[in-house]
Amino acid sequence: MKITSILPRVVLAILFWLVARPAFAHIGSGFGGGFFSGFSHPLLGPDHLLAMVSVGIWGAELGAPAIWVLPITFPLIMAIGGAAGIVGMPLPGTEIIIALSVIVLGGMVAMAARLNLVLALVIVGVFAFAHGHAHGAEMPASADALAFSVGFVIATGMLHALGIAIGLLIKWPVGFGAVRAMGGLAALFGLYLIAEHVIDL
Amino acid sequence: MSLRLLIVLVILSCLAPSGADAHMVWAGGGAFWAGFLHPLTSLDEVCFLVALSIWSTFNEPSTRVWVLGTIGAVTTVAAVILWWSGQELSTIPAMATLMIVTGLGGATRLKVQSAILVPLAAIGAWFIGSETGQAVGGLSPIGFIVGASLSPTMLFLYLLMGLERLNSDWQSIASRAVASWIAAIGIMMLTFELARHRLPMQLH
Repeated sequence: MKITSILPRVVLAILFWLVARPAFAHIGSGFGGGFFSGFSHPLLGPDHLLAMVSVGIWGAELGAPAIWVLPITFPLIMAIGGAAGIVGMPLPGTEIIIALSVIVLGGMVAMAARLNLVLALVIVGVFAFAHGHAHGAEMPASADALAFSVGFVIATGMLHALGIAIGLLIKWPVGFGAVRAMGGLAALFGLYLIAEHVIDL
Repeated sequence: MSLRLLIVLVILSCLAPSGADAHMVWAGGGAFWAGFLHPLTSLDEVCFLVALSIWSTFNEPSTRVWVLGTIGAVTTVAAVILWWSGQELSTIPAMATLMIVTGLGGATRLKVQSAILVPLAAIGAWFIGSETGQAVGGLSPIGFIVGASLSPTMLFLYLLMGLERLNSDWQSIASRAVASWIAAIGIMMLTFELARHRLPMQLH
């Protein structure tokens, strides 16, 4: 059977609807809930998402060894920040730092800044800690802490990989311009986040 | 059957509801199968073995053989000792620490002698075996322990075989990234364990 006609497609679509799914009445609890809660946290927060993708893009712009050093370092420092958030260590202005990370990392991408690797690591490390702290502090009380951390570490890694894939477009002149423009837009969004926080204050 | 239809059917079968096999000892297939599943359904043990295999790939082939043999032998010995003594041993802090060490070793592609990697594998295998020995319950100890010693050894072997085929730079970077994720998860595991008494509601 080849799926070229409409009928088999309709049948398959109906089959998808008929497949029984678990009821998420108490979403966020248990290992599965904790994992999906943690996994979706970086994906559903535009500030986290843009910062993580920007790290990957910036790594690709910097080339080896930054292309792998930055995405490998980020989860490690983020985990330390996440642990600090979960145990209740205060980090004043976390949201401001995260908004700043979007501006700085987006700006680095926009300028295709070729910083020294150590300096790049310091910048990424500071922001990784703040992002991890926010993930940890915002963990739902009912979620399995370990599963939550596994989820957000994997999601973060996947966002870095996405950033690296986007960053590879710089091989072409049009792609280079497009990537830099994306960085600029991310930085602008970061400015909006800062403004939002300032107005809230 | 066309390839597209096959893919759709596979996806559909993945969506079908099934039982949650969250680190349970399922005795339906006998003691051997229950033991075989035991390490494979333990996140810390699987993560440790994945990180160890990644790190081992970056080291000498002779070292990998020694590590493989050590895992099988020490897991069995530890399982027998813990089952026979009936002692209870908390393995989480040790496994989390091992995840950090092996994860960092794999992520940094650290070249080490077998005198370092083999004892590290032995310590990890000891704790994997310890968890096995404590989980025998009312099942046949021989079948359970043989199954639980075989599965980590096989997992390590298959991972090695798979990783050795990853020759490109990108694949090497991907495996190092996975090792760094394991180290990151280990950091959080260790923190949770150390803070367990402080945040009982969140950590259980």
